[in-house]
Amino acid sequence: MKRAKGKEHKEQEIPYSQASNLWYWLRFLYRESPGFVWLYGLEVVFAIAISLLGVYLPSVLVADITEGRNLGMLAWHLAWLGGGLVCLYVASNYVEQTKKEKNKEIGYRRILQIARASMEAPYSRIENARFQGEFWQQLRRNMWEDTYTTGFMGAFSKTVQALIGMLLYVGMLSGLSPWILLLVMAGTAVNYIVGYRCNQWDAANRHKWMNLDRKTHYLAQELGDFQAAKDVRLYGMAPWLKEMYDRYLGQRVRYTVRMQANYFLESLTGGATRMVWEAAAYLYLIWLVCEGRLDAAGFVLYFGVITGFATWCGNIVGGMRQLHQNALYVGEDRRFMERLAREVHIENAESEKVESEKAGTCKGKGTREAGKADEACALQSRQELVLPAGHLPEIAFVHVTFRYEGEKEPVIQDLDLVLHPGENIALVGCNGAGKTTFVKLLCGFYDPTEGEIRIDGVNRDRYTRSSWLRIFSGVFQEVGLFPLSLLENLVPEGQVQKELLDRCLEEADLQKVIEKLPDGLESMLGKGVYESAVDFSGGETQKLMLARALYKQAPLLVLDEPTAALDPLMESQLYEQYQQFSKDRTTVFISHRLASTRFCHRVLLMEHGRVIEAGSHEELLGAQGRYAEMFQIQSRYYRWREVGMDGGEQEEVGDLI
Amino acid sequence: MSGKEKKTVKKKEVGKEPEFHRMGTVIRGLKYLAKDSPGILPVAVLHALLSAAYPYIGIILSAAILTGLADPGRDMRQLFFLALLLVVLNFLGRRLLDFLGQLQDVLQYVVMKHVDRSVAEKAWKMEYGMSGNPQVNERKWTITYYHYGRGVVALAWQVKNFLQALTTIAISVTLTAQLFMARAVGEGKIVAFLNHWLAAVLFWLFAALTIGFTIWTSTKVQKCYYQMGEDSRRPGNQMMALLERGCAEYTKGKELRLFGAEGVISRRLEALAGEVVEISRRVFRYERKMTGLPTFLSRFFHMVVYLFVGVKAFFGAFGAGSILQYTGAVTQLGDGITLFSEVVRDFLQNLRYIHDYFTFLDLPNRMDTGTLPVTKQIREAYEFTFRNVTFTYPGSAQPVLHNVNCSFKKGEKLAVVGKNGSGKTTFIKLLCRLYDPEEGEILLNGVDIRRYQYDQYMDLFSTVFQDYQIFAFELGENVASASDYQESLVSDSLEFAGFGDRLKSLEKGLHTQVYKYFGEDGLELSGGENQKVAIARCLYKDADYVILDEPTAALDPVAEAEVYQRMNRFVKDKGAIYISHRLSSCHFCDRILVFEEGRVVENGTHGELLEAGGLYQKMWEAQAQYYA
Repeated sequence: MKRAKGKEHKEQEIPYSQASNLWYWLRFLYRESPGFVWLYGLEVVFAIAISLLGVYLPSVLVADITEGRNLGMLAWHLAWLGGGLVCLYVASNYVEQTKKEKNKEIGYRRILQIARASMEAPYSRIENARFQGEFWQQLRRNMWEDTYTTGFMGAFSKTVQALIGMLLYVGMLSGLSPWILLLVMAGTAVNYIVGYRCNQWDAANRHKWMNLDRKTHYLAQELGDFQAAKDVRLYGMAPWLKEMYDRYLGQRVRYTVRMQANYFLESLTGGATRMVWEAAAYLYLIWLVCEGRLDAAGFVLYFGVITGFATWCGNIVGGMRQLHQNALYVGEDRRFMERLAREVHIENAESEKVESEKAGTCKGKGTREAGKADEACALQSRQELVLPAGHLPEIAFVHVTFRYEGEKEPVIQDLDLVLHPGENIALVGCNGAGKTTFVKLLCGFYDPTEGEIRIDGVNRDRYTRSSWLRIFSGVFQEVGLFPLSLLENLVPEGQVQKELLDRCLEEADLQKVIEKLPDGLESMLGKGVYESAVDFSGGETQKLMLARALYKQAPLLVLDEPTAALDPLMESQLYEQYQQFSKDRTTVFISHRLASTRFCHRVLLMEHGRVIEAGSHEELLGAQGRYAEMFQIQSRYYRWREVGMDGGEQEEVGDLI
Repeated sequence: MSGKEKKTVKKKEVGKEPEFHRMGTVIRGLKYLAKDSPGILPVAVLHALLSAAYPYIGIILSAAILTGLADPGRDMRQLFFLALLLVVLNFLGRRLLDFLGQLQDVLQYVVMKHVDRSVAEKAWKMEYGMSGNPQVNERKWTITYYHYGRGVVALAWQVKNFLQALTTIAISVTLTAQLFMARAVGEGKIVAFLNHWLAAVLFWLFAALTIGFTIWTSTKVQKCYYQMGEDSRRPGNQMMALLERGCAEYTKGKELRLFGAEGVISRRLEALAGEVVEISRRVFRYERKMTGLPTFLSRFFHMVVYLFVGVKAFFGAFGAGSILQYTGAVTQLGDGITLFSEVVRDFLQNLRYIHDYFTFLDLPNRMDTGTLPVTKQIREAYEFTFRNVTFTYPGSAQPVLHNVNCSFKKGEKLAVVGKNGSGKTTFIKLLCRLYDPEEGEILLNGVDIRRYQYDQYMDLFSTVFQDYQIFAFELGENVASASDYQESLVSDSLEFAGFGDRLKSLEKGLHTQVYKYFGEDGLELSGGENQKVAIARCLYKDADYVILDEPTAALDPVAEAEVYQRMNRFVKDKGAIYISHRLSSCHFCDRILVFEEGRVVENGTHGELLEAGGLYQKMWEAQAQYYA
């Protein structure tokens, strides 16, 4: 129910026409590698020539023998027909092999394009399960299935070959009864209809077995992985997992059998229609020979041509079907890339358009192209945000409401808040209060659904996203390290300032850890990816992320639960350092450990997307509100030395909650 | 860039590598097939024989028709009969062939899935330490990656192809024999040559050369392809990892954008893609070069066949109709020999994969050797003792645990504290038999835990590890680790873990699918909710000993206090170990073990340790000062 709205949005995307998709991709391939496209042109010529010579050769041979011509004639015929065939085969083998190479190049180039587009897309575009699924699908099609290269061009060349071949063969058969051709075409039509039906069943049910495949894959791969190994063993899951696997496999095999039954039906109709026209062709041609209107050589030739004609007919149907499928694939690729590239939220697209129309710089009438132009226009007019060195900006949330796409309830409700320059803020609240969403809004990963965020009084939307991101640094909850070297993780943008880096490593208490590594900062992260990768513990990982955040030296620093995995000594040390590194910055510190609030100028307590209490630690304690209550709960046991060791007080905590 | 990775050095394989016997592997493979799918081998044999025989329906009958047509005294009705016979036999044969092919496909599919399942089952059950071993994983990956085209599944169609090739060769040799027996009529050198035995010898010599050369080059190309697979595995893997963790995983997307890692990842991806493309380019170019001549030769040979057959027919050795039969038969013979060579090559190559598969299945599980039952008496009164336990992670130089000694028993609640990396988690991993000690022993009621039956021993523990995993199953399944469970019990556990309100808000309740892997309607859980489900799972198992490793790191203070309180009630009469950086949790414990650099440095009650003024006191003060 909740998702309904989101779905409407998706359906609003105007689908491209098939022809437009095919043309678009042909142009893409030609741009990427003109040679690749031309190779298919050659393939068409070769294929038709091979088919023609192949039909003529036996017939000519039979003619030479039955008509008792001289031996030289026979040799001569064989020489040019056979020689031609040999040359054509060798040439088409060359083309075939060259295609493989180009295919690989183009596929990998596209993968890089997809990867780049994904990384450059706004965060909100990729933060969903759908993106991940589509990303892998596009990758798979480019990497292993060759859907967009040989698959696409193959469909094209097959169709073109068949069309030309068919016309040619119709010409060659003009001396014969047209009924034979009509019979072949009727058979093709019947095959097509049956095939279409089977395909429809396939398309309608595919998702069911794909899901079953995903499930068995998940059981075998994800549950068989080291990460899952502990839970699988501790909870003795193996027999249960096997039972599930068998259940899914049983369901899957039922679909397989049904699918094979469909294939058999297709094979049966295909065979039956072939039987009919083949019988007709044989009887007709035999009759012609017996009537004396055709000789044996002619029989061989015409039978070959009819068979060839039937093949072309089948190929036209098959080729068109493939083209249709490929057009769909291309459409998916286009939409995927477009969704990534679109900077502005779909929700905002309308208002943007109105604005830009008012401004008179861009004109559009709601068509796709115009919409894109509008967005591009809105983006172009954005400026780079450049702050003078040492300047700390004031950031203001003005009536900001944020709602996830398709959700009814807002996560952030009508938030009015000013982060003063140099202010150190502690953000606390229960799980699900909206703290992390707030941070994502602040850093620019999300745009407000309503209201605006201002920097030094100017609406943030005026600035480009990348320049906005430059003023932030942070440590987030999830592990955000990449399978690169330590140094590349710490300073991804390159140009290492050694001194600064050393200082940051020192501050994050990492210097000793790194000194112990044989490769130092050049050590690779990513166990299982690199042979000698280092494996950091949770605490060390958190320190690494802290060092990286410090190195960036941004005016705003966001720390989302940076102490969750740290031991008490390290935690306390971090708090002390925090005072130091937050001195010349605006900071936002999120933590369930209320101790962290001590070092902040202001504590904000969030609940249900609103700030319900704000003030210094002491003020809030004095106010005896929700914050005081939470602090009470957490600090109770730390004061227990004074209270005395008595387990009986547990129940009182319950009263507090 | 690439200089940073060390050259891959093949290390010694895990454990003792069983010897590779070709014959033994084949026999075991065939036995495996026969057992896993009793129908598959008979179907393969039938399929092979029919595949070999089928083309000759067309070859022989169409030749007969043509011969009849070329004969001036042709009989139309007989020709009609032949034509109809050909068409109908073609139809029936083709359908039967299709049917057998499809049947074999289905059977092979099931065998493939069974291979997949057995590999998975091994992965679920093998020693924990082994499942983290890159070599074991690589082998597992190779088996599952190639499980259709290689290994035991491939053996099934290789059996079919082998028989098909042999039958084809046998039939076509019989048919072509007549080609040489039939004598050309007439005078002159050409006729004499055609009838001379030398003609046949030269003919076959050329055939043998062509086929031999083709097989030789394709073997070389195959080897090159195999090498390409090997060479591109490293860059390919690294590329996939970067694509996965750099692009696809959105949780890392924030850092990616914030710290501008797009450039470095992009460049690295480019370099890796370049490497992969370059490796394959070399192979494709090599293939192009190598296949040119064989293509020429085999096509040329076809023409020679036409010439030979044609000239012989010209000199009246046989009728024009037989041209089709003989050229067809020679072509079939060539195909048969090529198929034979391919299948032999594939078969020999495939033995390695079959062997790999069996080796993987045979990996010993050194954990699962105990025989003693964990009796009811033990569960009612147990005591664990660590005696001089030392442990080093495989591949690491320094031990994580040094000579650890301690004991704890039923009803006792133990807190384990210490700095990051001091060995706390390893300590409980040893207790749960995820690893076995390197030196020393762990005793349960005086008996080494390795001597107990593994499954029964594992049943003793309810655990939540720091890096617990919630899976993409239904919510209830996650808690119960089963598909059949008592709903009320599961709901109670979730309620107890603080997940009750959320559960009530779910339309499908316990049957809600977790995560969006299998559909958009999946439930995404926040960090805190995830932790609550993990705790519920631990509660549901209700084992005798409870181990909690940082179970509340992601919870807010209120939820944390709640969980601790409830947990305390839950473990009332059981034994328990808590690991936490939040020392307030020690409040619930009878005794505290303090770890430092792999050793137990302090052991006592909260009060005692505060008095002692050691590491614990330091840590406590560090944390408590903020709450004073």
